[in-house]
Amino acid sequence: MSRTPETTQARELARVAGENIDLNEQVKLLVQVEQRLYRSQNELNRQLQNMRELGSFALACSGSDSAEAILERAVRVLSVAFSLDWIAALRVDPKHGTVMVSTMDPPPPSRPPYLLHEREWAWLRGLPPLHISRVSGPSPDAEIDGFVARLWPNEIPPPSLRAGNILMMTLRAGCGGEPCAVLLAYSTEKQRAMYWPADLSERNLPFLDLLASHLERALENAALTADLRDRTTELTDSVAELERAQSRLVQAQKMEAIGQLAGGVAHDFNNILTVILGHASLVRSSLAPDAARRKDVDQIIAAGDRAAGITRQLLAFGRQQVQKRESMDLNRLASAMTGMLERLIGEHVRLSLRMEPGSSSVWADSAQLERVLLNLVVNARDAMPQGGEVRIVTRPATSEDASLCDAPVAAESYVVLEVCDNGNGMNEATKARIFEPFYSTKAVGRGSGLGLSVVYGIVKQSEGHILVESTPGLGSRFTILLPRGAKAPASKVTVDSTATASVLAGTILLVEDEESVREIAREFLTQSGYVVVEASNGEEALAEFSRPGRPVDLVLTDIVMPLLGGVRLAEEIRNIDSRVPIVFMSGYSREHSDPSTATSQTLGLPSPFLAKPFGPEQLIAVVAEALERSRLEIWSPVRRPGD
Amino acid sequence: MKTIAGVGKSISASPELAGKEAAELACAPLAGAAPDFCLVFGTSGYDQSELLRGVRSVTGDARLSGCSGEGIIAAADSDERDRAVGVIAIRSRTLRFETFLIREYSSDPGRCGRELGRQVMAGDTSDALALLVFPDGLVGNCTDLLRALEAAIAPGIPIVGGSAGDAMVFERTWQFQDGDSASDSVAAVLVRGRGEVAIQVSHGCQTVGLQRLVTNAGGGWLRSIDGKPAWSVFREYLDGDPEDLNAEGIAHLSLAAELDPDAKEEYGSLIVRTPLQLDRESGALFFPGGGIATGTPVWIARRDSLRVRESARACAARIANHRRGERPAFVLQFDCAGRGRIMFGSRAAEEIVRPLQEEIGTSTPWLGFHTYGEIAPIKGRSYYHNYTVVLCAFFDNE
Repeated sequence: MSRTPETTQARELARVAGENIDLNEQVKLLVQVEQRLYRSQNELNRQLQNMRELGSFALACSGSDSAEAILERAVRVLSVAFSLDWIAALRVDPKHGTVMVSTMDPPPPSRPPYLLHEREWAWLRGLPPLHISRVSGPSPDAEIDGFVARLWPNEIPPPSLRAGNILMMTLRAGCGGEPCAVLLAYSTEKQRAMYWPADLSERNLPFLDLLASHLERALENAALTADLRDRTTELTDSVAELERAQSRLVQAQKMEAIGQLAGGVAHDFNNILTVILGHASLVRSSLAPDAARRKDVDQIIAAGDRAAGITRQLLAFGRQQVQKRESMDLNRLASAMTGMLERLIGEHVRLSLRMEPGSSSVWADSAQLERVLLNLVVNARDAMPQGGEVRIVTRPATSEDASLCDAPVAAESYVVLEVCDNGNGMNEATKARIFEPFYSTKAVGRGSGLGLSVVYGIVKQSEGHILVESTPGLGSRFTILLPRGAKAPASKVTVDSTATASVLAGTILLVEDEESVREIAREFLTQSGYVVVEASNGEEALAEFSRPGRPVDLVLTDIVMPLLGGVRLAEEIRNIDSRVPIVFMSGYSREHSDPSTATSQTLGLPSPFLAKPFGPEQLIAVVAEALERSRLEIWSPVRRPGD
Repeated sequence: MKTIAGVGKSISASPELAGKEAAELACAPLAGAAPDFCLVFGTSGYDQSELLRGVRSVTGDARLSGCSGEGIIAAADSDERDRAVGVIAIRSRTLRFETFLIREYSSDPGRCGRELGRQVMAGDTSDALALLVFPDGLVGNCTDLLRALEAAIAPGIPIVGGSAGDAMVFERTWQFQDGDSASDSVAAVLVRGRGEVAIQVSHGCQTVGLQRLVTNAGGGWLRSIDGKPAWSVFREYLDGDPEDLNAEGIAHLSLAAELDPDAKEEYGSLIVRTPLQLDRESGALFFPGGGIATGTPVWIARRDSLRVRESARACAARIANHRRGERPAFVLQFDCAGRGRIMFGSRAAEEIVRPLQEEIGTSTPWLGFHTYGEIAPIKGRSYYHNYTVVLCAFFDNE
């Protein structure tokens, strides 16, 4: 058979058609392979996306200490990864068996925690960490149905209407094995499940497992972090309190040191002033009333008196003044001073009082309290050059007042005296120094800088506390806590220097280590007709007293002396002759004159006390009164050696 | 700029809250001023009435249009979960918006088109820029709708949009006008004013295998190809021998028909169609886009992810250069449901949204949805597309 052109062409067409069909089949295979590749690629991308979400979640939770924030983030991760109809994060309180909604989408109206039924609680406790339950129509899992029904928002159709899956993630971190949080999520089945592998089904369990694991760790860390934070706060508070206490202690020690220094300086100055005033008095008494130099001597005496006033204030700051503490009414004192204070502060400043009745009895020296109130009100006036208001308040102390003191204080044992103003106020640097002697913010020549020092000293000597609050531009408040009154009065004796000196004869044993003071005292005594035997220290005095044939009618002794101090000397003399009157003199206060004993009460008898500096009149008056008393046999029966 | 637009999105499970949240975010750039117009796209997991109630609790009486989608595109996100909503709020001194809703679409798509055209032309269209159209994507015949509409409106008004979708369950879609939501309808917006619109469209599909011939088709149903049941022809290209359209692979295949030769240069030679329903008994496939008649040469086409990306990016680049780099007032993106998660999984936004925004401007207000079909003109004629992206950018005229 021959090949015609038509036959060749037909064969060619058939061959090409056959090849095309083969190619077509190969193309189909390639298209199918491509679909598999797309599927794999999408699944891989989905897994990567999930891992990224998990990584971000773990990172975001690492710095969080709030369980609510962590649960909210977990809700977000699930909402992004899956197409959810509803999701809720619940906090469970294992102790009380209650459940509270932490986060929910859609958000529910505000609901209080609700109590789990006992059966519900048993069921919840028995749940595994991860549980996916299929719901279709009436849920076959009745427990979940009931549990979810209580939480289900009205806004979306309940799960019983559409088939789907519910995820329950039960978390137990930080709760000793009991459930402490639950994540609930619901997703309806989707027809395009094949297109949408991100559904709540078993195939996504690995991802959900990882998420649950991260969540448990994050919640545990949050619980630990919260605990650590609480402890750190406690520690920080304790450290701050310690620092405050330390600061108060340092301040108190500083004031104590300054007080001792001031007291020491005052003592030494008192000795010097005794000499100056003493000799000036002698010179004055030798001049005729119209003598030209009398005025000069008067000036010397006046200056000396002013100096003595300053040393008294220093002693007050150093808590070394003589006190007469008694039960007194603070309200009555403040009321009585109102007129005087109003005149003092002037018309541009208003004075107001707010006093709580019935609880104003304090144990204090009324004269000293008057000084305190006066100084504080003057200080307040000076802080308001343009005018303002000063308020005086009395009230019971509160626990808040007590907490601010530099020592433990029982608030119920104190009464408060407060002085407030709306003046210039003080900054912290000024506030820290206001009680230092001679510290002043006023211009030179306006104030001694001792007013608040005196206040401080008096308050402290009265076993009280003083607190200061101040804000620049707004004003200041001084709060003084004073011990409540109704204590037994202390048996302190003040020297009445106006008593008439009626006994002006006798032998005085004068014991004073400071020669110039001893000289002037001797001069005063001899000019008044006394015979004076001198000793420069206690041992010398004892020797003189014991010398037979030289009876001593009175011992006038300094207290702080080398070798044998005045109080010990008095003890020794009492052992020899208990009838001899002893008068103490000192540049310190009575209580601080001898470190070994606070008062002469230890001697069993009250002893007169002469504070330096003294003039001839004060000296003679004290000596004469002491001699008078001894002659009236007020002292205890005589005890002589050998009796 | 005379037009201010803001975009907001919410994935809250509560429809009212979601609408409110998204609207609040959208209205934020308006700095307290009320919007003139809002476009809303929400997925079908929501009760649509409650969704709109939430939106209007913020936007008040502003005109509103939109529809349900298979997913939403809002700002830099593509989200195809069951509950997601995107809102764009617009306030403009140069642009005006009129909304329409024509019901009973499936009973007579041509009538809908004519009625819509009549209502549009009843007003002033001298400054019409574009007609946005959102028909029900599960019923009707979009080709018939477009032909009738084109004939009824003034020439030169581009028709652009997308058909409403649901969550790939193919049950029901919704279309919006102001506070109303309806199904089996066509929602539309006429955009007028002193401005300009730039429209770009691309698909990225490629034919595979031999040319085929449609041997029996009508009323949207394609019954046989090359004398064989249409479904059996598709199945040959699907992995795993599936039994219905739920197969994952179906999303990667389409039918391609030749386009008018005039359009080749700008767009390519093929228009793409996707079947949405299968009659298992007969093996017939339903194409809601219509336009496939007996005797039409067709090819099976595959979507090429690289082509999809590159062609979409090229569209965005053309828009970016439309006014020599001037940024549009806002951009709408209507992207086929088959080009989101089905194609790119969790990277949908990175593949089909953000690259386009990088071309035009990442701060440009941007809203869209995943459609069951796309509507865009090619060479002045309106077409219904599948597996396609349509970008519609509005510019102000100063």
